[in-house]
Amino acid sequence: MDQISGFAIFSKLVANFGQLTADFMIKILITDDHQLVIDGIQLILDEADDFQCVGTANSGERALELLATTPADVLLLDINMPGMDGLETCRRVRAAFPSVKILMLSMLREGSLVKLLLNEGASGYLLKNAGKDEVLEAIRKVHRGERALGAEVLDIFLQPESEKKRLMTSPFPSLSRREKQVLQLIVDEKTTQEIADELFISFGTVETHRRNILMKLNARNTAGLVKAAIEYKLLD
Amino acid sequence: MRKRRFHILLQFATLLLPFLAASQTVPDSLEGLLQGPMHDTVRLHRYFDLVTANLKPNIAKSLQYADSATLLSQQLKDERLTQLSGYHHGVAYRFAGKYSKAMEHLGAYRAFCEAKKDKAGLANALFQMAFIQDMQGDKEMSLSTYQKALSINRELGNRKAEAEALSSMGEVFQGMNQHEKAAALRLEAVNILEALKDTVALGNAYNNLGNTYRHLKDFDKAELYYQKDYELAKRTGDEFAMGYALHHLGRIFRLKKQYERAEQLLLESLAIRRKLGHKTEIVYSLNGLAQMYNDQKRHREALGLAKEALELCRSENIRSQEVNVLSLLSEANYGLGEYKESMDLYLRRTELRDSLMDVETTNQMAEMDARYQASEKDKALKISELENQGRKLQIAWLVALTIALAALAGVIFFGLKNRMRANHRIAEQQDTLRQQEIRQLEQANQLTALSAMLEGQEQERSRIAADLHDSLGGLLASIKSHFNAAPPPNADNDIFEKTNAMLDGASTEVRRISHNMMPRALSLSGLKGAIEDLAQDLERQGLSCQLELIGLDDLPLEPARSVMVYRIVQELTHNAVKHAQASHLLLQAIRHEGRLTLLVEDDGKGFEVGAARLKKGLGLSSVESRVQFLNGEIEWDSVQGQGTTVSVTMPING
Repeated sequence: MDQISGFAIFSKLVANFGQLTADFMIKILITDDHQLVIDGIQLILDEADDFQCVGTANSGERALELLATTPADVLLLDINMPGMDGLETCRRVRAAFPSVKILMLSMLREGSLVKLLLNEGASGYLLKNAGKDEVLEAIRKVHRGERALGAEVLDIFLQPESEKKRLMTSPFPSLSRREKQVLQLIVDEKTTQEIADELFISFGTVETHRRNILMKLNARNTAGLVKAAIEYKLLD
Repeated sequence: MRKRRFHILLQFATLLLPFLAASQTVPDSLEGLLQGPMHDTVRLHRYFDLVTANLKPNIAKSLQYADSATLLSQQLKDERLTQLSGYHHGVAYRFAGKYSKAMEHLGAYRAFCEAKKDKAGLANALFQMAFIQDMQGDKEMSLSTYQKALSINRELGNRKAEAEALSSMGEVFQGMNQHEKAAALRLEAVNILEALKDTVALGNAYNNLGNTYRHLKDFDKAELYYQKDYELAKRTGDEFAMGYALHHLGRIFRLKKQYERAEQLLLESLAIRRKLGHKTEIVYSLNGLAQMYNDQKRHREALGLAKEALELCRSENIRSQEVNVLSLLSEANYGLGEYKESMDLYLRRTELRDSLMDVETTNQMAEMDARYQASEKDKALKISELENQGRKLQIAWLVALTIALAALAGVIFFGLKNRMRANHRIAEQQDTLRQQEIRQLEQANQLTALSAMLEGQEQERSRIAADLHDSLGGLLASIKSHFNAAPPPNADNDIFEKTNAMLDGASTEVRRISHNMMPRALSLSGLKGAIEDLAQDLERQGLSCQLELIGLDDLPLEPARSVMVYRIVQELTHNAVKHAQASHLLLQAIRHEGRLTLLVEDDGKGFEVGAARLKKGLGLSSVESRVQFLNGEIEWDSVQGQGTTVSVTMPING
């Protein structure tokens, strides 16, 4: 009896082993409009034994359909696709299947796009020509709930960010050289005509500069200009 | 003086003029008006009248008076009068067949009128120039010049001049053997003149229309208008015109083969002309009759008339008609069986015609030579002008500045003045508005063409970028994964790495090219993202880039406009890096009250804005056409050694 039951348990275990191991494997869905790219990724995935490709889709629409019937852990997603593009697909997957981790796999390396997609809920961003190990490692990372950026993508963010780097001495947008000259002369109590004469530019051009300075310094009149110029040391 | 004579003269224009003095009366009464003391300005206008009056009867005299007028006007030191003298001189030269000189004078007067906005004067100059262009064989140009004169006269409500222009355009079409068009235009002229009840001009118009219908072989209509001409001439007692009308009517009946009626009319015409003593016209009549008699095989009568005509031609030196007369004589002799005589006459006719054509050819050659010389002179002048331009540029700027300020002052002054006379100005304003509308329409047309071109360009770029990116880029990526998944068994590590690196290089290159062609970021992360990427790219190239984007989130900018704005920024930053070799860049985009203002400032070499504009280099023109597309304004401000600031401002919605 015991023997029988022991065997039953063992055989049950053996029978379930396939399922169990499958549970420990990371289930992946690949979405790209180029079959060749999908094939290439599958080749890479075949090399590792902790991945299982549960499906492939050639469009964002198809990927959403598949996810409804085929649970997946990680979605590898291209950006440039006809029809629903990667950005829109990413938004919809996040809304309908919040547990699915999204790893972008794109040819595009513009910083603004990387930021945009990460903001929209993607967990990682890889360039398509990333190496084999980089791809595998990134999939594991996003599956663990970490953020994964490819080496080249990371490179973009390591660039010094000019906006942040700049010391904000004034809350206003910068004045151009000419605008500074005009502002200086306004502060010196020169009339538009005198400014035009001095700078060898037309009356109308001086007026245009004045308007632009007013706009930039958020001032309503000359007094406001002078006040801002002094307060924020806009003039050297 | 009837204009008619002039129109008939057209057919023999250059040849006949020298012989006219004898056959036409000189306006003596006018010359008498020059006697005695008078104000110089009055005298000048008398000269003008004499130039005009003598154009047809005595062109040599007309030219003399034109010379006198020019001299006097120069003494008076009045620019307008000098120009007006030039115009009269030009007209006199035109009648003398000296077209290149005429064009010089008329061209100068035209430019003067354009500058002074003297529309009536401008229309006169154009009218005269169009006539010359027709004579010089440039029919298309002539028509377009007449058309300009016509539009101006219509605008000015100068109905008579409008009719004259229509009639002259008819003349040109007739010369091109497009008689239907000629008929339509001349009919329009007739309708106008009938409404105006201008008998003199109307007579001409009837006559011209009759001629056109004769060419069209619509003899009934031709008869109708010649008849109208005749009745008009009879009513006004203009015997000269009556002579012509009868002559033409006679010809029509001859062509209709109603010889009895034709003979009656031609004889009547001849009688009138004999009474007036106009030799050339008498020859016309004799020829017309002789031709009819030849048609009727009444050769003996034809012979008698033709002989009389020949004598007249010889004594009065009317050589152009002599050819016709000899033909008629030859034909009559042939009909009478005098074959030898007929042959001799025919040969003499041919000889004479050839010699006359020689004269004509020589004249034409001289005229062409003169035109060639003039154009050479023009060319030399233009070259030296261009050479001077460079040097004058700086001065020109200062002058332009002064003029602009003066103009502004003028505008303010006139603005005040005009406000006081508001009522007076309503008509003028409407006129200006209409012109503005026309200008705006023209501009809109240009803009449509420009936007079509620019948008087409962007679409094409977008297509190529997508192709490159998707197909080639995707292919490269999958080659790499295939290659890495199954490396060639015998490849050593070095080759493997190198191949990988090359594949990466190729991918990067494809990405770069496709990005330059059409950044995907523009449609996905908007103008703001795309400009940020651009700035980041510049930083990567080692430039310090200060980026200030204000209010650019959710910018409601149409995709087509968004691309244009991006291209402007791309082009300007490219200039800063490549041409100005700048090291610091300020890149600003500010949205404020429905407008977007861009500012790109560098610390590079700077350039001469005026010169660059002339050369259209540095991508200036591509930037400017895009600004135009965006309905915006651009300002270039560059100081050599300090840097360049370019600011562009545009409405966000169109």
